[in-house]
Amino acid sequence: MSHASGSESRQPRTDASGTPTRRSQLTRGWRSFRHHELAVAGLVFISLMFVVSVLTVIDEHLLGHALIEALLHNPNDPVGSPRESPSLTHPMGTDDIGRDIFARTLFATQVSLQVALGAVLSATAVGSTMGIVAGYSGGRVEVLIMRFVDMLLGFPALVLAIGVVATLGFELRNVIIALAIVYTPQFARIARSSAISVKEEEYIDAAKALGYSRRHILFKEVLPNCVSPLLVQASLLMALAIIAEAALSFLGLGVQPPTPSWGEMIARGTTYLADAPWISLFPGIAIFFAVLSFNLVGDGIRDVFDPHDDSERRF
Amino acid sequence: MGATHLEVEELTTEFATEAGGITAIEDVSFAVSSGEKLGIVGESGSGKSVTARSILRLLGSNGRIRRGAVRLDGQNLTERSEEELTAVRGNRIAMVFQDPMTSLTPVLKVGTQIVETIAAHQDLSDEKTKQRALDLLDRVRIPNPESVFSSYPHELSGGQRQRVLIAIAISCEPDILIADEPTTALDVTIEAQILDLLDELVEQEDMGLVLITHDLGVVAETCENVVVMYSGRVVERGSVADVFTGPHHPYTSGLLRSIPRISATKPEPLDGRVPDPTQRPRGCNFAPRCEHATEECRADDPTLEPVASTDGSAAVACIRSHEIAPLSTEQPPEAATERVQVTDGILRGDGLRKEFVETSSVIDRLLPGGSPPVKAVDGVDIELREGETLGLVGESGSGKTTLGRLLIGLTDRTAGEVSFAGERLGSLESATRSQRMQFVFQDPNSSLNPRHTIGQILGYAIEKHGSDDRSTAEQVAELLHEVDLDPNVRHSYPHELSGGQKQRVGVARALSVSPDILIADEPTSALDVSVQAQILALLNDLKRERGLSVLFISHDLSVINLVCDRVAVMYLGRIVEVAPTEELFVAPQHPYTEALLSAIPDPDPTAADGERIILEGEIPDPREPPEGCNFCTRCPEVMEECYERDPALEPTGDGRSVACHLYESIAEEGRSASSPAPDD
Repeated sequence: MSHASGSESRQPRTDASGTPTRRSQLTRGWRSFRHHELAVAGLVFISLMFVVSVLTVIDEHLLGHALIEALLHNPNDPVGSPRESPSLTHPMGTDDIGRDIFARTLFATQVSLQVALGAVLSATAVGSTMGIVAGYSGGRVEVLIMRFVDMLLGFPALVLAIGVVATLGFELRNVIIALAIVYTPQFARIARSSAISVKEEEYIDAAKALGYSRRHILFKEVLPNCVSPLLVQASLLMALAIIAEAALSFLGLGVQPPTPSWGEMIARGTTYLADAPWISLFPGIAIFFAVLSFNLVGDGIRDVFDPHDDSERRF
Repeated sequence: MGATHLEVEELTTEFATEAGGITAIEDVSFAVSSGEKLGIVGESGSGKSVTARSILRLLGSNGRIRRGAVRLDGQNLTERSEEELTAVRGNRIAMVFQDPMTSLTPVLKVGTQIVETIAAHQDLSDEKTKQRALDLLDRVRIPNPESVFSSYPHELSGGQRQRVLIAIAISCEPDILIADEPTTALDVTIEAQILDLLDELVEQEDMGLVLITHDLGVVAETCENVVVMYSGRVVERGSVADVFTGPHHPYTSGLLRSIPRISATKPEPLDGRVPDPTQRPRGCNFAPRCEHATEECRADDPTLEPVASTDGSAAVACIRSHEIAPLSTEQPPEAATERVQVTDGILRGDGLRKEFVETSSVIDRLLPGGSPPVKAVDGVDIELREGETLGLVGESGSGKTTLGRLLIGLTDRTAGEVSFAGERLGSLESATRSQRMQFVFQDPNSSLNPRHTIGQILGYAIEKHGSDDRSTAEQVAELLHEVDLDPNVRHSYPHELSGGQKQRVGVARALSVSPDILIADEPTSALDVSVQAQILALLNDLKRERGLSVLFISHDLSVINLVCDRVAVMYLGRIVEVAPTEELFVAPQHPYTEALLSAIPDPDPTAADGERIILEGEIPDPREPPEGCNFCTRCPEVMEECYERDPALEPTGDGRSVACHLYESIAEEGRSASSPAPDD
């Protein structure tokens, strides 16, 4: 081209070392996330939970508890006398029938994570799709979807979950389904409000002018721009889901014995709170840290996306 | 001229950011006296707003003044405590901000906000305070002060809000008024009114005015002295007459040469862009873009040295100015554009109408009355001919953007028909339609999906419409090359590019489907002056190389003049005049066109500052357009019948048409002589 406008444009931006910057938004986000020490601590704890979960699942299904027996004790068998207080052999003591609480707490991690992940992921998928379709389409479609969502919101969450589990049976899968139903409206509402603001952006008009399909516009143009608030909500709901699973298990509506779960373990300990508090205490502590971690990570993610954070330096 | 009131000496302000400390402005010095009007001009990022805020130390928690002094009648404000400064702010130095939409609190009535300001600085009885507020509204020429006093900000137009802000600013009779881009958000006819008002106030109140703007024309029209800023430094200062006719700094000269003007000259794009404050070059900040730069320029920051001038106030920060100055501001004459062969219309709109209904709740539909629809486009016939660039010009609210969107089918029509190459738009498949007509959007920050890389943005479009055997990556690279971007840009996300680069990507995306028609909606209004010239040159080249037909929508007549073959002027949903560009600019027919042309601030201070037509009032509410001619409420030539009958767009010969009763006799003569205009 003849006119000289290249000097502006022919130079890609370079950083101090002179290499072209190709930082993706993910790495940029990570850099900002790293500044929140508590959120990073939460992330470390969550990663630890994942590692423990994976190991216990492998141990249970492939190795027949060989690994845990080598290191500690079989979580489902009485290995000591009932209600032993914490000691070197049983770091968290034993429960009312002599099972090792440390081993059981570790094995219960995967139940909590499974329920929380399963419920939140399916709720995110279903809810976001509903919300984005509703927000982008508007009109009758929006009314239909959102009134349905309002209806779901009308039920008290835990009561709805108890009802679903009671109807479908006391199985882990049904707990996941129940919680997914409870959480779907939250994602639908958030996705809808994001979609409504995103659809006014000029790049959506540009996509329409280029004749892109509705599918492309919804999932390639609108959805990626609604992800941040959904991500924050997902991590906060993970925390709530862990509590909800514990509550259902506490009521005996969760996984069935002898599979350990934190809620069930707490329930067992309630009778002996006075003379053997450790039975309920340690699973309680596990719940506390799991919930705290997800909340901290959620806050960290929100700060990364929120331009109004106070990470701005001052003199 | 009175005693010097405000003196800024080597003011240096820095901000703390995540990337470390940034020096926003460095060694800024100037002075302004009462009764004087000083303009500060520069592109975005030049530090002009920071300068204004530094004077009143409105810098936020992360900014501070590192060194330098701000002296008000000899007292150094930078050494004052926050409380002492509060007494100065508003009282002795007042400020008017850029955006009248956000500078007023939406929850308080306008009157309350003015009264509060007066009460904060003066001890008057309630009765007197209110009277003073009403007087002030009257001073800023608000037609009905009583009703505005008890209105909420959202009930006022942008122009009225800016008047209210000026009223608040002058409420305590400040010695110095700092106006930061006071007219940037306003239409050109309203801008003329506000500048006229500021001019009058300065004269009557004997204030000093610091007018910050990016628009050289505004400075030339309003100010006596000017400070040119570039990349945080003052590069040149002096009287407007000296600086704008014989600039000593290459940047000033480049800027003056790069702006589109009403005269038949071709602007020369100024290459490059303002460096990021974190990446300012060693030595003169302008050296990388300067055609006169030598090794010496890159060694040290040049200091502001006095130069010979008519009033002895001029200074320039350029070590080579004694060799190269005074520099030219002349633009080369426009190359005689081959008149586009008059061909058939490729895109036609007939009787187009678009009404926006504001509410559609059940109650609104059941109850009679309700608010009438907004007639955004109210019966428009328009024809875009093959190979031409048709300009569509009008103020905000004239319906020009809506018309562009109707033509491409982005907005549904209420009535009327669009045909493309003889075929009705409705009968075309959407794939064909999007392949033959494309849109370039106004705001490059909003028109590119922030979550996609440039490569993805262009790739999707190519995959959707590609008929080529070549790989997508190859075609992306080719498109980027065509719009003068480095092919490596394809890995970047939009936020990593400058505004000009983003707009290039926007153009490339529109071209990715090889369209016949390009509808460009204010493609340069969000860009800086020097970048605007680059994008306009690019569009011109592409149009020629690809043989595009372009509908160019803009509020800026100088830009229209530069790129268009024909111009259609819109007012309140109607086209009031259509004419070939040269004829329109030399001899406008419709009174509105005439007023628009005269309202454009001319950056040439020597130009005859003739009878500027300043239109009274504002564009009427499109929900309730006036009876008769839409322009009758503001027309200087209004006649009896204008209030009664709506004029139709009638040909007046030479390929021109105008909708005005003044020309109806001419149109009739043309008809009775049975020699219809050749092409209308």
